[in-house]
Amino acid sequence: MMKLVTLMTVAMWATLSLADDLEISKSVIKLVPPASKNTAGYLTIKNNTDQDVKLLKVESDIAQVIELHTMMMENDMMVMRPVEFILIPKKGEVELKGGGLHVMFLGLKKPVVKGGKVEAKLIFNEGKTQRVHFVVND
Amino acid sequence: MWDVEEESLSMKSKIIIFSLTIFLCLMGKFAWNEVRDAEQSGIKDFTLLSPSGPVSLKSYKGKIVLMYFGFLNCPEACPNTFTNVAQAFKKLSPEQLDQIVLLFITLDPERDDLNAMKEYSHYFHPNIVPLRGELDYVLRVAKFYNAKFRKVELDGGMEYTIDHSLNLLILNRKGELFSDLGQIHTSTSILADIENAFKELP
Repeated sequence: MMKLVTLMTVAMWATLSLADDLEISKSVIKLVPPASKNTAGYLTIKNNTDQDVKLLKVESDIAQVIELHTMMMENDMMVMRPVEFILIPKKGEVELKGGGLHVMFLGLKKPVVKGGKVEAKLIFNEGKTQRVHFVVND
Repeated sequence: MWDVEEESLSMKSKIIIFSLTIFLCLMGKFAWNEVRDAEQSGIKDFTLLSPSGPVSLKSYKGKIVLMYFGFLNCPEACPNTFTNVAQAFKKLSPEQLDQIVLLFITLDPERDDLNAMKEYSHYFHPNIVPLRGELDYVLRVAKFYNAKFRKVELDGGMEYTIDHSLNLLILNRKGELFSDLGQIHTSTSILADIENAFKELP
């Protein structure tokens, strides 16, 4: 019994500490017209740990495929490319925002509506995961 | 003696054939280059397909025409531009609004059909007219109006994307280029340029 309580305490502590390890804020999905099959998601990830963390994947029911992308101007053209991961340096933060890194939702299963909430799961290296709520906004 | 004569004749004909071949090759190359140049030349007065039939740029003479090259799968640059233009349009008087249009020319005719483009455009503003044409033709229109784009194959869910410049062009009532708002434009800068274009004498 004592063991179980200890285990539960450790588990709870682990969950809580993980939440503190990575702070997620400004999670927004871009409002796009109903005719759009794709949209972009943005968020800021703060890494409070002493180790670099990699965001590897985002999972959600709203789209058929979800990828991590970056965007930049190259030869006077806007260029968008998938990236394998997004590195959040130790004690640092990364802002996914317009014109740069973003989460790309491809093949929306239903149109996004302003103010709507979208649940997603962030998957980091070493099996770390974190739930996040995106809010649809223009 | 006879043999030598024959040999020299055949030598002559060889030279003639050789020269003719070179000449024909050069002619061919010249003609080929001409075709290629024509293929690559830009088109100013274009005719493209809108949801309600073919539309030529000339048919907008007397109006202010904004032009933008984009595509429906464009996640950010295109919707941002349309939002900015729509905001600028909303500040215009009804008289001005009757005399202005934004032509949205798709760079992705492979994936963008006119019905979806119409729904997409009207979501932003009814004065946005979606236009579609064959890729080679659009390439030449874009070339004339200094818009750059290229299709890039991708691994992953998108299959391909289109790198593209973000120029927003304004043509005056005569159909001449009035301004190119370049890569960075806001609803304020768009509105200012539209107002300036309206100030020009018709």
